[in-house]
Amino acid sequence: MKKPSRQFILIWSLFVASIFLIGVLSQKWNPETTCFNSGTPEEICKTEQVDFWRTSAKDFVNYGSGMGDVTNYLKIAEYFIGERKRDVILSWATYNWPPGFPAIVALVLKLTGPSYYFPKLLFVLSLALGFLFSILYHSIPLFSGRPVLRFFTWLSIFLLPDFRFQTVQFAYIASEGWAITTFVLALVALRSAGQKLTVSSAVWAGVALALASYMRALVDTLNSLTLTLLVAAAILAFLFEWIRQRKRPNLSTKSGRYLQLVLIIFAVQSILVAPWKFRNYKMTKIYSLCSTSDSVFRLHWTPTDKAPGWIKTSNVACRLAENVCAEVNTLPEEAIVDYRKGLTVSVFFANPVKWIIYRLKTFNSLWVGFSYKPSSWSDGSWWMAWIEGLFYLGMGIFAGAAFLSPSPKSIKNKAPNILFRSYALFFILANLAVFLVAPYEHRYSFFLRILFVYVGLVALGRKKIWKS
Amino acid sequence: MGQPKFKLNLTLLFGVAFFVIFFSLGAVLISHTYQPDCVYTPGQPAQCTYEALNAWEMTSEDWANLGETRRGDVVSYVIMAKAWLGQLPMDEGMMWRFKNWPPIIPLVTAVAIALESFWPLAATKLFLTSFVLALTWALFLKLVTLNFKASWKFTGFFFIFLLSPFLFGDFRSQLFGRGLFVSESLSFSFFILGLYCFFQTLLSPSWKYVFFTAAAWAVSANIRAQMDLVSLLGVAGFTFFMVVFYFLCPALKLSPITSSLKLKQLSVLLLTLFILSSPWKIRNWAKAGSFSMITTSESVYHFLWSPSDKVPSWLIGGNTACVVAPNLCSALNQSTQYSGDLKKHLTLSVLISKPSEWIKVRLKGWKLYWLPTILSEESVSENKDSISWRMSHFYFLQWPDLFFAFFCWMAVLVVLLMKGASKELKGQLALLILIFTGIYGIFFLLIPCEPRYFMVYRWLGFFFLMPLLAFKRKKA
Repeated sequence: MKKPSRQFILIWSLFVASIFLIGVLSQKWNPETTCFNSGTPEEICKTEQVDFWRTSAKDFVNYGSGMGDVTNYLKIAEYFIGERKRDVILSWATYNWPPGFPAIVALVLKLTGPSYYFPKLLFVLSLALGFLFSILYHSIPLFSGRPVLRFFTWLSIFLLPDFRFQTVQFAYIASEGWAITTFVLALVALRSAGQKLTVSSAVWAGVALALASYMRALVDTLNSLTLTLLVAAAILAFLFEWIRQRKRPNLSTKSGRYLQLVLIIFAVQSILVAPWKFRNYKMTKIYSLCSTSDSVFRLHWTPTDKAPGWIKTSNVACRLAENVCAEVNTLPEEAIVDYRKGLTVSVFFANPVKWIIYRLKTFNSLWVGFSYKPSSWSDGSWWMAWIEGLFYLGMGIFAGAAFLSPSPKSIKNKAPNILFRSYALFFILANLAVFLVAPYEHRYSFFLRILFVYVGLVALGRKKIWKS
Repeated sequence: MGQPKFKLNLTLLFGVAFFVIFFSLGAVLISHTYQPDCVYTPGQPAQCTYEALNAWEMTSEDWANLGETRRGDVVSYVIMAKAWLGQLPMDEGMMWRFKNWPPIIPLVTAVAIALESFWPLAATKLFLTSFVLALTWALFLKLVTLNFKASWKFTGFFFIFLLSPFLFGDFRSQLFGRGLFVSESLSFSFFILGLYCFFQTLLSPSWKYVFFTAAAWAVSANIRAQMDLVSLLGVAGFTFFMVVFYFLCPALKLSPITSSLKLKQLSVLLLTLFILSSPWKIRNWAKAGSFSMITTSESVYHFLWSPSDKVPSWLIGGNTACVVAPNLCSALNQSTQYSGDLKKHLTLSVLISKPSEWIKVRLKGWKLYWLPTILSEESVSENKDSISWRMSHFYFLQWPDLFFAFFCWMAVLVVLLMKGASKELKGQLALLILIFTGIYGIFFLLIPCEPRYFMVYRWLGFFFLMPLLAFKRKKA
């Protein structure tokens, strides 16, 4: 591994300082102390209203109903450092959320103690985000020759309110910031593997994907689907070439090399996530980083008046098969518990078009998190959310057009990075599949939006017009 | 000019010979299987098989009053026919029957009832079955021998070979025994006739066979709803894969197994078959909201979720869902108010959630898949107290049927694997076999079945030998 250059370290430091500052300034300075220790299970205030500088870990443990992400990350972290004993709820938490973010929180807790650790956690995230942005700065030749413009172009991504919220604002107490950081690092590693076509680069790509999976179970789900499709496509391509050429199978051909790299990435990622998945399997008989995926299908069969508000379209099966839903909810739990997933699949296949149309109608809640029409046209947050959503969509369309129509020269002179392109394509398909099936919050689409931005910026960076 | 006439005259001659043989065989069987001590008491459970009745002397009134519930196939066909002839009212029970069975057998039965004063009911069905079978058998003979002016010795040998399935009890029973009173005899006959026309579609560029195939299979579909699924899914699947191979073979530098003409013919066949099998489906759609040949599929789910003591033993995999998900089954049977819709979705849900257990339960009944309609020895011993089954000495044991059917299948596989035959034809026939196997495999896995449902599949090996033999003759 090459020693990072001085320029790299300088850029890294600048990014770290800038991101930390942005993170600090993003916090509100009016603490809502009534949020905590109120004795009620409901969340009284939203997380962005909380002043994290003055909030202790103990307060967050009591936040809300006790079943949400926030509280349980902390509880798991306390369990990791031996400050909490495992009970039934904690056990459930450990197989509901992957251990990546709690491990980081545990590390910080161990270093700083239980009180007022959040600013320190932001600092640790800033180091990682800074590292990410400096890699992007060096690997994508956007405005090359104009370092100041280039630096602030990258930093301007934090002008996007949702991006800022998901990374440095909400990231205090949730895993999104780390998941986004590690996911983009994985994309960089994948792109590098597709360019270098070496075993070591494929191994690093697998490691990066595994790291991202450990931060959010959704990333693992998307990666599992994507890598499965990737492996299947690689095998088909290899077989196709083999049959066509009528020669003995040869891994030194293009398709053979592609297959090798894909298998290495898949194997490395699978092996690295296997320990926690196996641990969950021993407890729940479900081999997954999130072994409570059954709740997805439970939500599908929850009557509309009982569906939780924070997941808008969770009960599609129930909405499309209302009579069946009413009957299902009269059956004893022990009789129906194993069959909700199959029931959901059955309803989907009975009404595929209606299902897809229903989901598409809720595209706004997936992509933007706001309704199609604002309650008031002067609502600035509605406008910003839609501008940001359209920006991501625009980047995706631009990236798609750029990547789908490479010039003949680029195909002739350079391998068109089939590995990265196919990963991107299958990742989009995986997101579509999850969007169709799973109850969705709009933050779940963030990884797809990030992919669009990354690919869009890569495409922009290739354009000669931007080079000096 | 002499040749076509020669072939046509010989084909007619052999057709007549086949007709005489089949009609006579059927008439003899009906008489021979009659058991005087078999008496059906109206409203009481059956004490013997249909073959044991005196079919020559039974009137439509006798047939219409058979059985305990009067909801079985045979009785219902007669009742439906009487309703069409205005002899019975169109009440709720009648409407249920018209939702449960396609129209042709009731139509044929209505014609038979109209001719009842001239000759017995059974004779009309026997006549029609013999006619269609004779036509089909003569066409197969023409395909393999008469087209090539084969020697009399070979023609005679092949003539006997074509008659050989009738040596076996199950085959006879399905065509001239029990099958004559239900729908198997006619549906099988028309399906095999359609299969002959389909082989000709593959072997010859003529468009007439496309329409003949569609017509024959549409008639078969209107006799048995199962044939509707088999023919439509079979043609659709075959056409789909032909299209795939049409594009894939050049890309993989493999020799083609089809041509653009064949693709056009297959597409027209599929469309024509769909159109010709649609009228009764449109009628059902208008009356019952379901575009299908029968609209009482909830009985399938009713059986799948029935406790084991309430399912007939001859229904293969009758209550698989209940066996695989006993807790859920018990909960569903607590109330009669759970809808067919729920049971349908739960069936698929159990299959998706526990596929290996489902398949295990199904495979336990594999013997009944292959053995003929007459119950196996185990079933006879289980049911001997309630039903007494008599096996006429004229019927051989069931095992020869099984061996002969397997022998034909093995012969087909051997020829397909041998070198020298047309790759295109072999590829197409192999694909067709795979598709039919897949379709019948799905039936076996999903639907409560009787062994007679698989009669067509058991004997497909015998008929698939014909185009292979024809091709060999052509090459020679």
